[in-house]
Amino acid sequence: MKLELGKLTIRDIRFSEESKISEGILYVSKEDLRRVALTEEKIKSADFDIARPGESVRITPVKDVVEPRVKTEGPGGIFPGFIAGVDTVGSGKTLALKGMAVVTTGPIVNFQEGVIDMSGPGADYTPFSKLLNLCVICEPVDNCEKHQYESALRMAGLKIASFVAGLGKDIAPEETETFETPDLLTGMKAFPELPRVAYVQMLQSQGLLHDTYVYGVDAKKILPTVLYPTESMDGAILSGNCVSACDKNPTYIHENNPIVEDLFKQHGKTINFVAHVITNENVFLADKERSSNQTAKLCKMLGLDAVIISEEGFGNPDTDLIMNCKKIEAEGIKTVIVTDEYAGRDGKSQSLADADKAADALVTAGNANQLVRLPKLDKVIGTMDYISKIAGSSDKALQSDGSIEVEIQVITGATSEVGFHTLSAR
Amino acid sequence: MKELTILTNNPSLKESLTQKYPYLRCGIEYRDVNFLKLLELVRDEVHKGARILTHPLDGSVKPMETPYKSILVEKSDPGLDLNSLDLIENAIMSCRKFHFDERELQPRVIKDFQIIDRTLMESAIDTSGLY
Repeated sequence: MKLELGKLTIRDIRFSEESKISEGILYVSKEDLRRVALTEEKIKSADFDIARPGESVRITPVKDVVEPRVKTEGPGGIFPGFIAGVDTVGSGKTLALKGMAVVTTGPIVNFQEGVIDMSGPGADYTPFSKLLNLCVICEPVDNCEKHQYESALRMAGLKIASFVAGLGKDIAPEETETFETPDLLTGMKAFPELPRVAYVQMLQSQGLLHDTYVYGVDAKKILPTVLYPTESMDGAILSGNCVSACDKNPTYIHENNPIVEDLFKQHGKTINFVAHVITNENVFLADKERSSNQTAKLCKMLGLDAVIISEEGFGNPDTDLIMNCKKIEAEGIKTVIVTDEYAGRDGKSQSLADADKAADALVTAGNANQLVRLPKLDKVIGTMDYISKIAGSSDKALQSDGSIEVEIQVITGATSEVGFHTLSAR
Repeated sequence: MKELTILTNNPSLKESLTQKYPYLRCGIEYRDVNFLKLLELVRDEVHKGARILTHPLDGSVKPMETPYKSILVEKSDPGLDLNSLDLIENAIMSCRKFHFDERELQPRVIKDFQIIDRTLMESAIDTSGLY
């Protein structure tokens, strides 16, 4: 499967009477955006704002971050199962609007949304401070259940991202990157001497408000399965999460998964990047056993030599992570796990809730309990009403000078467990 | 005879689950204790022969950051289930390592924590076919 990913860099976003992209500037009409958002019947009102890198702006509570993409050639459409039909995606041509994102905000669950600071020390902890953010602020209708609000806001974000991307459909990309994965047999013949490597991605799926979707299917209901790695670039996997902000994968990260991209860079050189295996993280222990058994089975079937396993979230998913690692290693396949740590504020406690001697190669994405002081910023997009309630914050977070002292857990993408962030040990 | 029971300190769990699943095939035992104490009560049950069926830690909320926890166990299995013991001891250890300021929770936050605890349990009930 071959995907040509065209990239068009957006250099500024401006509100305007007419929606269009011209000379790298995205002009959007609030009326157009509102019309798109209000197609969701559970949304009462929608407002929009723009946050630019370096501005004294804090966006909170952040629900999702989405990169606008549109298919320009080939089967299917972006976000299959939600925005497009269910044709298999990942081939043909896709255009991505780089340098920007659609950010949805709204207080769905008081304690499980994130913060994006566009300047100051907080900006260093989130990759999304480097983007032009088109913020979507939606109020739900009265008596809207939380899961309905989550669904409506998720859909509004996806629809607005698709609307914006559509404005660039006929513009030639500035650069194009090609990603290709051969079928198993061709790949085996083409690279007989290279180690066969796959990416095992664990998807947060513990229940309502902890969900990830694959082609429109709630991931907790899937058996582990195999994707071509380009499928996620077309939005085959997307976030329905209202979980801890630092290490959930917003939709943007699924579209731009750095593990997928890095494995592609090595494909045909040092490794044969065979497949993208996805599995879930459920609550019921029998589900954990079943999914990890199936994941290990698929890895064996694919004739792999090594896998990279990424976790999403923490706590009980640590158990899934270790089960996957242990069972895949037991098949004679080497593993490297990617996770973050909850090692306490002093960093001295055990980092994961589970462990095994098979897990002897690990990449850490940082300690989510690390304390950081974020200064008061001039403008808030969304509301600060919930800042002391977000996981990683506390009633004592708000200081007399208006700054907040919080764990980096509150910052969207701070300890991304696929390595999409600015924390590094290098 | 195996007996399935949800041990919980979430005061709204029983009412909401019995409303949603009128034919739920497990008991719900409410205990008015804090998060850590609930884990310790589950550990007591494990020592009496219970097997843990749902993970004692949440998916994204630190233990004790939420006051609520519900855990499904299967009672009256003979003998000590070492996996369950390992799981609950690890959870108790995880729980003790985190720093928490004493705080008064606002009613709307309390409600959210109760909902999240409930939805995690509903997810387990849905996949296990206990309804």
